Amino acid sequence: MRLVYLFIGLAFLAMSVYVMVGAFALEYYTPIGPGPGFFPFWLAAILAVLTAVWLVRVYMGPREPLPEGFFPSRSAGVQIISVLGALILFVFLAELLGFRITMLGFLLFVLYGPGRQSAPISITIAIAGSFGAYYLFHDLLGIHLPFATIGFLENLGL
Amino acid sequence: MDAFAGLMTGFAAAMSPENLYYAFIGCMFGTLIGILPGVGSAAGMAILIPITFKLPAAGAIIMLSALFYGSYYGGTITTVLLGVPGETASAVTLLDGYQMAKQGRGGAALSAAAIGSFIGGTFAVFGLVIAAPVTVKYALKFGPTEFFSLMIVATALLMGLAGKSMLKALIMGLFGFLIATVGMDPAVGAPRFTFGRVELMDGVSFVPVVMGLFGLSEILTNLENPAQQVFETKMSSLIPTRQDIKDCVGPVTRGTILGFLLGLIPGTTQALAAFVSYTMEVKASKHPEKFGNGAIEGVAGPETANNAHANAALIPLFTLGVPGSPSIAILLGAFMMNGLAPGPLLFTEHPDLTWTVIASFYIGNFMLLILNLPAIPMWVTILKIPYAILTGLILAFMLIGSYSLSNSMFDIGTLILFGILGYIFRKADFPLAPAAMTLILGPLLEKKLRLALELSDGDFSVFFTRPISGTLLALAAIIILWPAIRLLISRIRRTAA
Repeated sequence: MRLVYLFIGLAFLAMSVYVMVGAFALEYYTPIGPGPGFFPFWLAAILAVLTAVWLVRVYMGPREPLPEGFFPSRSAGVQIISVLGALILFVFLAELLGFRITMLGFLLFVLYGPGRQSAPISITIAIAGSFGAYYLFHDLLGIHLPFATIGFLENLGL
Repeated sequence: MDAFAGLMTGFAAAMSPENLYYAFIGCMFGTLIGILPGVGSAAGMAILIPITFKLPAAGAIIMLSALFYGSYYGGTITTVLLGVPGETASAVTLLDGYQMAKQGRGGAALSAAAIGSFIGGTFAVFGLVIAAPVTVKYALKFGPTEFFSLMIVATALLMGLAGKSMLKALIMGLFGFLIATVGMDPAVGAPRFTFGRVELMDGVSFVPVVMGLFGLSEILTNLENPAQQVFETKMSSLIPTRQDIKDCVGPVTRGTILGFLLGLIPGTTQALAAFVSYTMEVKASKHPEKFGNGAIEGVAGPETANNAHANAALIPLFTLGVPGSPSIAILLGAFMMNGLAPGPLLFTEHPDLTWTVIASFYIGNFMLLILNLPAIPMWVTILKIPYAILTGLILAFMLIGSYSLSNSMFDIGTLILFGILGYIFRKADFPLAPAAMTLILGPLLEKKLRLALELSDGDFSVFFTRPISGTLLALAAIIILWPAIRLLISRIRRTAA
């Protein structure tokens, strides 16, 4: 567990140092009172001190084994990475292919792949979650959702 | 406007068809969130905030508040009938509620829970009506110094009760504060930590951050656990017997008072109120052996306490602008998104809206009582939908919600990033609640701090020399240092022995 804590602690320390350095570049105090760098500087300084204290306590204390199930099983790991991958892909594709097509693909993948649902169920839910959600949010609630910018999809009004 | 006149005006407005509709939708979605295991009220509220974007301010807050207290009703249904706690606060109801359902008394258990929740909830709202004018009168005398110290106490309380380690809670709290400093400086207008991104000029949106920390990370964690098997029990008549009613009077009364008092303390949770109530009932009972085997007192007390707490926790928000939990912090965020600042000025600057929202709490609690019991078969059917399908739909909702904040993919990126961070923090046992709360409180806290220092010509001693502020800061210091103080006391005792 120490190694995991070390990585997390170092990440917090790096963040603190980055903010402290960044806060220095901002005005610390102005003629009317504290400047933009004042609050973040002190927050980052306290965070750095607390993280250091915590890391020292972790290393001074008894070794803790990793809790059972800390790392996901191989299949769960694949599922998590698949879902995250699909979400990232959505970010890149939604403004190209439009909301409806991208969401259709996203739901089909998530339901049929990691979700292990049958093809008919996956297709039905994916259509409802993409074209149905578009109708609900865009047409009824007036919330803007991305349109396709690729020629033929744009021409189809998607 | 005095409290009674304000409440009556509020009722007139809250009874309008459109406000009744918003309360109804909020109650329904809240119950849905409550019955779904793995979707807490904070995550559910963050996910559903986008549906309130196009609503008027009163409608948006009525819907989100109903969603908040509705989630605690929903959690009970699945706990009693299926043995699956939808909310952490309902976990203690499992001990006797599920046993009652197995004995064919599920209907009586649900009725006791619903009636107790209604009594606890409406009593707490009544407390809000009584306490608000008094608290507001004193709070109006507070300056930025006192408000700063008050927010520090609220944050310290939440951190103190958030997890096993105070250090981890403090680190997470500071992490949230630092994220809140991103964006344009509120006083001078200089960009801070924006990496040159226009999207960060207004700061990191709290909706995708909270959605990621609580919602997405929860979904990722649930992917590791195989789906729970649902054991459905039979529903009996919903009408409790005369003996049931007699047995519930004490627990409901005690649960109401306990939940109300705990709800006033920021940082305490509904789950804590429920657990303390259960312990109290076991101790108060002449037949403690009945508990765990289907005692109706074990359902009525905790459920009442849990709902009284949920509604009482709104008092510090409305009167002082201090949220006591991540869910209430999200509600605070919703207020701010609608250009309103909860706190004493809310009652003087927006009395109509404030009293409309408060009156809607009564109506919402009544709606939950009337509508939920007949709708139980529908909720149970929803729970039978495979979790994978619900996950897909929740993810779709998160994507739409994040995007619609500013029509930008950047917010979806924020959602994913904080989802991954939330997953890691959960694994390493870092509490998420302090980060969510400080993220929302951060800009307010900085504003008050800087204003206080400007007014005192940069004199820091003002925080300690002003009596209220000094007392509050001393209290915060005791809360934060309590683990160390406790350790010291035990060492002294050991040495003395």
